[in-house]
Amino acid sequence: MVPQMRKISGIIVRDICIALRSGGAWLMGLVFFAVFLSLSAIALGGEFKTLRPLAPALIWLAVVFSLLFSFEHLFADDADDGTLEHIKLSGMSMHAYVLAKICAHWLLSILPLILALPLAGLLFDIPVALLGGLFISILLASPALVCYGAFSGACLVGFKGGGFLLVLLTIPLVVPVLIFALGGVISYADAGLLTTEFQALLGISLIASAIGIPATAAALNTITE
Amino acid sequence: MGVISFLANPLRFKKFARVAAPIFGVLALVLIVTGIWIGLWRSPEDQLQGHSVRIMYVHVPAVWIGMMAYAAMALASLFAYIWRHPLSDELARACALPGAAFTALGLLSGSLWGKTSWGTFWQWDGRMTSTLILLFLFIGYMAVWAGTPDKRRAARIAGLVAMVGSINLPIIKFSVDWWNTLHQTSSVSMPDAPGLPPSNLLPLMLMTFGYSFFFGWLVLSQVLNSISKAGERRQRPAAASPTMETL
Repeated sequence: MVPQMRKISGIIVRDICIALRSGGAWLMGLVFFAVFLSLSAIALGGEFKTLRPLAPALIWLAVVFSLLFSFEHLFADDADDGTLEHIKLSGMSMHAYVLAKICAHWLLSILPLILALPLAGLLFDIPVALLGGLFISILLASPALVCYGAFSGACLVGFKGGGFLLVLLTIPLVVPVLIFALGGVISYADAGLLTTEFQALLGISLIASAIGIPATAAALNTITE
Repeated sequence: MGVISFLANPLRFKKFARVAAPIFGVLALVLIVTGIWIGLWRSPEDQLQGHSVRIMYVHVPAVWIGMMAYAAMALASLFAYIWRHPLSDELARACALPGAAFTALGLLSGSLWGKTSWGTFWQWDGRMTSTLILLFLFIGYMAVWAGTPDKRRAARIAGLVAMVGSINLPIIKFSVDWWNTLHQTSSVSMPDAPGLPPSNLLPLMLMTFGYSFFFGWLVLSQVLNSISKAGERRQRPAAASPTMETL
């Protein structure tokens, strides 16, 4: 158990080091998030009166799309340079490897988005209660988003032009997350933390981890076969 | 289980499908033609909806068969995943295109029916939304098959996609229904099959069985086709190997 944990933390540290040395490529998701929100505000006319009711949905869409585009290279780089084969040869369980990659990806792409939420709130001038709901909903839904995205990313390793297909494969799985997250944001303002929506969101995240990690490991095993 | 292991042999499956496919085709033709005839000319029109209720005989079975096709695809993928049987992969793959076509037909006829009875082509109603998402699932599955060059890998990955999708379908259905009841103020009522009078139920059932046999015919012919293609591929390298040795 202990060597397995050390391997997991080793991969997390390695992924973060690679990302930090990549010349800021890992921050592109955050830039996309900002660009998407600005463009939406411009397209909708820039009036706070019209923007405020749409803000939670827009911010959530920005999060989903900025994440979806980030999964294309989650496993593709490791598969290309032979890291994946070595992981398999080293006897490390594929599930543990997937778990490590998912944790590293959470730190690298979801954490920056969560930290940028107050700024996004400023762009749309939304009240603090709504911002709190957004924060909690993204936090609760993030395991589901990462697990499903990782699954699609693993399915499309070596796929030419897989970016659009990744979106197509993941979107149906993300529909319940989106529905309950936005429901939760709205009800958080008057009902607080223990709403049905947030409980459902947590449930979906648990189911997604239970399905997503083994399915991703199975897809990666197929690729290295 | 006995039937499955009997048909797992490609040769026996081929023999069975060669007999069953034409029977399914003829049954489908007879049932659909009778269903359309009774549905269009020999069944009463609805008190509220008039003649437009006849769209139901095309629409409702199409959506049912679309959902059944996804279930069959996921089940075949599960068999293929556990026992690594290539025939099961072919079966799953053959379900995708007809399933997507039936789902699309359901959406299309549904929107036409919606225009005549609710006055709008599209409504973000629970059933319509989840059917649309089902279509997206089918398209994603087919895209994985189409875009992965290595066939064995494509089969396994597509199978995983189908299985993960099938686990999620109930969650999607539930969440969309929940979302719909929350946001939809005007309730949209559809005639449900069990409450229908027998004169409307008969053509509906005829069409459902007709569509099912049509689906079965399409799947069996597709699998037969791919078995004979695989046979050709296996024979070709044997013929080519002597030339390699002479080189």
